[in-house]
Amino acid sequence: MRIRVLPLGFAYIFLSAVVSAAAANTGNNALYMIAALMLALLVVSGILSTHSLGRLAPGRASGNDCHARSPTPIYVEVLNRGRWTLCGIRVNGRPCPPIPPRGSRLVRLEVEFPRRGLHDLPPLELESRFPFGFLARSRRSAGGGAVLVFPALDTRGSPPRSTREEEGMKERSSRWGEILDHRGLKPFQEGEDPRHIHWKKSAQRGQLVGVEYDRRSRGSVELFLNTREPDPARFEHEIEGVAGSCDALSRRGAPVALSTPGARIQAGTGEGHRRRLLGFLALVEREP
Amino acid sequence: MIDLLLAALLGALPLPLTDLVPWWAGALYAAPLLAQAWRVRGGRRPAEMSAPWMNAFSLACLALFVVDMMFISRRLIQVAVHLSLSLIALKAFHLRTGRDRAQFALLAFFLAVAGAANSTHPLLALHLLALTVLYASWLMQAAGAPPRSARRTAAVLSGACFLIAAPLFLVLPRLRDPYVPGVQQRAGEAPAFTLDSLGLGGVAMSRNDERVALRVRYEGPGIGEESLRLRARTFSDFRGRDWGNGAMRHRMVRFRPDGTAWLGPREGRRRPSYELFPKELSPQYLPLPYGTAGLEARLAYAHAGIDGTVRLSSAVSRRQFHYRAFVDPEAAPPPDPAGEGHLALPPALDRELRALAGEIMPEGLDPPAQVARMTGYFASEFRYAIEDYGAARDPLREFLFVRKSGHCEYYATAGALLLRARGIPARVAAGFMGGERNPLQDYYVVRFRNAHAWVEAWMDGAWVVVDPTPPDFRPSLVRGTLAGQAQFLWETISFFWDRHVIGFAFGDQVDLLETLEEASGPVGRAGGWLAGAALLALAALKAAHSFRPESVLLRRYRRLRRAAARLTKARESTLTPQAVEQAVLAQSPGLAAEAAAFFGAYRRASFGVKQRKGENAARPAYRRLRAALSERRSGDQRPGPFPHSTL
Repeated sequence: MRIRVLPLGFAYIFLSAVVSAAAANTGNNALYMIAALMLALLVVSGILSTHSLGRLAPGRASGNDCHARSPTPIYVEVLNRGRWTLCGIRVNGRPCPPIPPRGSRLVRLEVEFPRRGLHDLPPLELESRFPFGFLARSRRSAGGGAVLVFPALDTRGSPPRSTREEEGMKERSSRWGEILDHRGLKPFQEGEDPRHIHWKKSAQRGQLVGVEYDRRSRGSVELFLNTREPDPARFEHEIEGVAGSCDALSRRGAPVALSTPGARIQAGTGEGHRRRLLGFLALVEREP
Repeated sequence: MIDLLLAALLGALPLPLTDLVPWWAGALYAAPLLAQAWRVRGGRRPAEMSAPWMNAFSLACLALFVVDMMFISRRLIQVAVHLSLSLIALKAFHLRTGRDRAQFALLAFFLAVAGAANSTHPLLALHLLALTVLYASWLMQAAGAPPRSARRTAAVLSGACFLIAAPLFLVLPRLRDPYVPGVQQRAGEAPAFTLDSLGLGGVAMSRNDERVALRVRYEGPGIGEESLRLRARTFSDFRGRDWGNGAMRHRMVRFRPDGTAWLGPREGRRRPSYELFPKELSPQYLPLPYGTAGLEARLAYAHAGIDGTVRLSSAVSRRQFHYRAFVDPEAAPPPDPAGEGHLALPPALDRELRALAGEIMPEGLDPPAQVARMTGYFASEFRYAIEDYGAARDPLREFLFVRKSGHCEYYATAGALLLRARGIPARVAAGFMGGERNPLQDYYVVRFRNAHAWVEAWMDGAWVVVDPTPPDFRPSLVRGTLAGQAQFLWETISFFWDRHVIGFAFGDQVDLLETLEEASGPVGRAGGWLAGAALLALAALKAAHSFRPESVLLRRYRRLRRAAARLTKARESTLTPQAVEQAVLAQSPGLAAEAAAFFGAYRRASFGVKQRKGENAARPAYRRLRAALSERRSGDQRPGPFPHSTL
């Protein structure tokens, strides 16, 4: 546990010293009373600060994808097991809203990992300025679990968007592999993609009108990663390139397969498949 | 914010009770604060004043300060309080930012200190408790607590503060005698006998004054009516309108280390004794019972007159103290024979006084019988009245021959002069007589209305008390009744407050320690020392554990980040470790290995890996990086490209 006296605390200590000196100099017992009260308030502040810190506990952490070398937001739950509403709480320097008794609050943190792989969440530094903001007491606590850090995404090698996609006038693409030709208009049905609503016609007719498309399918993409690359730095670079392509293609709806000299992941689409690919790339090791 | 406004209001509450601030000024101060508090309570925004108006009014306050200092108050403390009041009232209209509120709180705090420091009332404890709640609540709200929760928590914390503050108050070192501002008396309020002369009517001015002058605790056998006749001064020279005592000789009496001083040539008995606690009285002459042989007080010295009175130096009069008088009737009285001065009559009344004395005290009677005739004459022919004949040409003639009514000073003056006219040396004594016994605690409350004057006549080689005032009109000893218990309960609290809080001194701390030591016994003492040592050791261990130094790597990393921020004109807090590393590499591409070593060690440390060796190993790398950044900073100021990111 560390103690830091905050500027307000320094000012308060200075004021207490001034009042105490005035009391000692004049012999005025009313001033002695004020000085004793001010010192008592400092003592109470210290005791309560320690107490409140003991009542704080980190809860679960949740967050989105975490990629190497890029700051990623995570949300940490901070629990208050005490009977006071705790204010002036900070987690890793981030202020936390007042936590009611027996309640919890989420604090948004940003973490950054230098390398892909399975990492422990960084330790949390819980700091309490409760009750008056004179002292900041802090303690370190375990981060609350492990996190799979995906490789950094190198998008320089990812396939370019098609010319037709970029024009985006006559045809729309909702998913990779589905080239959509504009055919006509039809009443919009519930459950259809809202992006296909023709807003101008809907406004003219007073009801939702959807655009009808012709669908054509396109084939899957297979990416290859050479795990026998002798140069470790180049290997990592390749992983980042493959990860960038996987991410970009998957987000555009393309069925992506990934193969290495010793393993293969079948083609698939969707968020789960994308995470499966990135997870594989996060843990893959170079073969000798 | 409403707590802050209330704290500013409450802090100034004792000020109008002192002479620092008049009531109308207090009302002027309270009005804007109350208006603001009312607005805030109603959910509206507080009224605000624009900056130019604030500046203009502030300058006006400063101008008022100068005028106040030079022409009106002329006392620095008073002027400072007036300035603080005006600035706080003004600042209440400019509470926009947290800084404004902090300035307001600081001003209000100093005002509260000034108010409390000038207060001696027992309700000061409640006043301080309320202030603690309000300030604690405001501090908690400033720290981010919701208002309702802050108030509830602050109330509980303030109670805890009082519990801790009580022992702290007792142990804080007392370097000087307690200073009590209430003891200072304004000119004209001092009792007549504390001055060098006693004007006719001086004591009577106090006859309706219900303030407590002093409290007396008696230790000894039963106390009688005469036992509470406390003499402060004697006067021998009548000058037509007042009494003086210019020829009185004093000698210095030094107090021993145990606090006692004996007025006679040898030490007397210590019982019976009177312990006297002056409250509103600022005694330059100590009121003492007759037969006082010795004193006990925390004083260095005093001046004893040959008539047995004791005078203090003026410096003591502004400090709270109490003293004990040892009464020993068998002790040798001070050598104070009657002289020619004790027979002197005012020339203007000489003939009439001798004629009246001859009429009421015929020759051939012994002195006690003559005294009895004189007191009988006053009781039968005169009427007691609080009247002042100050405007008359000769007040004594007005009393004796025209009105035949007056109060104790006229009775005493006339009695002394009539005795002198019959050849009995006499003088006037002034002090207190009687009091109320507090039934809850065994002590007597002497009020200013107990001030009295009487006569001392030289008979059979000693000064004897003669009281010409009719017995029914003398201040008397009143036994407190159960019906008045509520009043005496408050009086008991007030005495405790004056004695043990306002008058708490170094000697009381020593007494307290001795009492604790006696009560604990040898085993308790040893246990106390052991417990104290254990507590100290525990505190030292805790402190050593708590104040761990900051990680060396973290400190070095912060230096590098600061340097990188300067180079790139970016905000330091927005730089991630990666950004700092990239900045370093952008400035010095050749230091890739050093950067990897240092930032790798920093990352490992920041993830909680303890590595003393890593810190040392990263030191050379850090030095090279730092040197490179310093060179760059002193040379090329061109910012290096690197991504900004939030940390």
